[in-house]
Amino acid sequence: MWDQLLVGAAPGDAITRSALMLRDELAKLGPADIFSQHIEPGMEGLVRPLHELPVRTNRARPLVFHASMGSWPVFLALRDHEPRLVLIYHNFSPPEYYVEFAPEVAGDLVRGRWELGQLLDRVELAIADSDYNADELRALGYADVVVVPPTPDVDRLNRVVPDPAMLAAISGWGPGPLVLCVAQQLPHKRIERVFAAVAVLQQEHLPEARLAFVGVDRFPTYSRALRVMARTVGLREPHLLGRISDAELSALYLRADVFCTLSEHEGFCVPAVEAMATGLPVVASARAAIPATVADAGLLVDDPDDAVLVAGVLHRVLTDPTLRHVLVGRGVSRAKQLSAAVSLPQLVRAVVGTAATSEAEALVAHAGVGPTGHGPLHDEHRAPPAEPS
Amino acid sequence: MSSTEQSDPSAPVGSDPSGAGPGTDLVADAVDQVRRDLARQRADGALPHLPEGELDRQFSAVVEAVDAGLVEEPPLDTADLHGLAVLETWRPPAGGLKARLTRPVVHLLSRLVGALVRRQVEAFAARTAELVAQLAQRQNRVSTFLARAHLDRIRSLEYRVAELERRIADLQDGGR
Repeated sequence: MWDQLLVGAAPGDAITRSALMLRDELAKLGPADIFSQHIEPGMEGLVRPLHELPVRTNRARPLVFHASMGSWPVFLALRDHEPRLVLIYHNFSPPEYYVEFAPEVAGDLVRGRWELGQLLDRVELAIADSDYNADELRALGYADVVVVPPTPDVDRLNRVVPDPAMLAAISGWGPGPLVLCVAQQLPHKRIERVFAAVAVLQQEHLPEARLAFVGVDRFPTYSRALRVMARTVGLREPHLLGRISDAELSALYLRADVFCTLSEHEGFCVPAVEAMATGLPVVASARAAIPATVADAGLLVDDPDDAVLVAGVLHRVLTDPTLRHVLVGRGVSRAKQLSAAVSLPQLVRAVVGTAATSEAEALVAHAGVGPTGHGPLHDEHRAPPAEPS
Repeated sequence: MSSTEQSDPSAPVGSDPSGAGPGTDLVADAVDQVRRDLARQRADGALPHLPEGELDRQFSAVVEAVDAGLVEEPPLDTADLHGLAVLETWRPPAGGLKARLTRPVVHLLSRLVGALVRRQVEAFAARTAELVAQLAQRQNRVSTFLARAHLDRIRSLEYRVAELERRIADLQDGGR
């Protein structure tokens, strides 16, 4: 009964995972498909190609569109074939970070905002997964935006048996504390900040400290620059890992002593939530939606460019057992608040409620009572009751 | 559903086993404590003041150097360079009456020639490998020096540009 559309579907991608979880729930109500323009290996069979969108079987229902990036083919498909949409806005990365490394991506990101503006009249329900993202949608002209937290499967890594080979490898890295950073190698993630901070941590506080960085390589120039940066800041023996399995990631979360992300822009920051769920203290930049996600369960640094400050904070977390205890306790609690068990039912109710409302309107209109309005619905019509968090 | 559904970041989550009293929060205070310590150390001269935007300048210099192909290559590794050339002994193809008859003789001859050749080239091969290793070490040192000098130069230039931009802004503010 319900179909979804992504710009790109990839294994391990948080938005793809969220769409799959939503599909599983919607499938309980009837047939549910996911379409995507880009389908990475491993997603075949789970996701259908974009060119099949015009013949989707659930055309009577609005299409659930996950917006995370601009795409001209996706925009054309929506413009030509989809008069009714449920928009789930996951945030667009700031284009300025991509001008140097991938101008075409910067162009997609700029155009993406324009495309969302063009689709405004078709959107029956606009969902943002954070207040931060809701503000961005409002800036694009969306008057009524419903905030439904993302649906991270926070216990995903707790259900996986840690990879024995990775556990053995980590033991071989030495006895010092392990700082873990998990982020795609994208310029706005500012991974160089983490490298500089851990280098200072090694040089000024804990020579035995080690860094494990997990992140898929997206832009060759940026990735090469990161590796050179690791050398030039004097980072000793960094473990730079690309795409790894959930079992390997689980081993890293299990053995790490602190999780660090100093990203400049995040719509939510799933890795920080996964870290909290696995009982790992979080040190993060106070940027974009990260403070709202981490709340008071992590240490937020408002000047992440100051590597000396971040190194001092990491040192404090690694050497103050009371602080660690508090952070771990709050982190686990915070992750539970943000888990899909809480937010997924909200999302399902929001999406399904749209159809119920619009079908009721159609019935009313058909009965000759007259339409109740056009365009975006009002808050009182669309928002399901709030779940206490 | 509204934005207020997300928990209030200012509200405490979970209990605080530190026993900190109301108005104090161990987590919120931790960063401030580190910041105060750093400010004190910087005031004492124990820590240098980092120029604003230093990390950005450094990374920008790295990106430029990578784009120019100056620092991308990893250091040359000569670990797998053998002192003695390893030549595999030639073996005649198996099968057929002729091959079965000639195989032992030819194989013996091949091993004999191989041993002689190895003996003759051993000194030459060892010296060549030694020289290549020395050259690689020199090349790595030069490459590292040039890369660092290049990065420092770009960084200092960018710092100078930032200084000049600040001065221009100050002058413009003063002119208003």
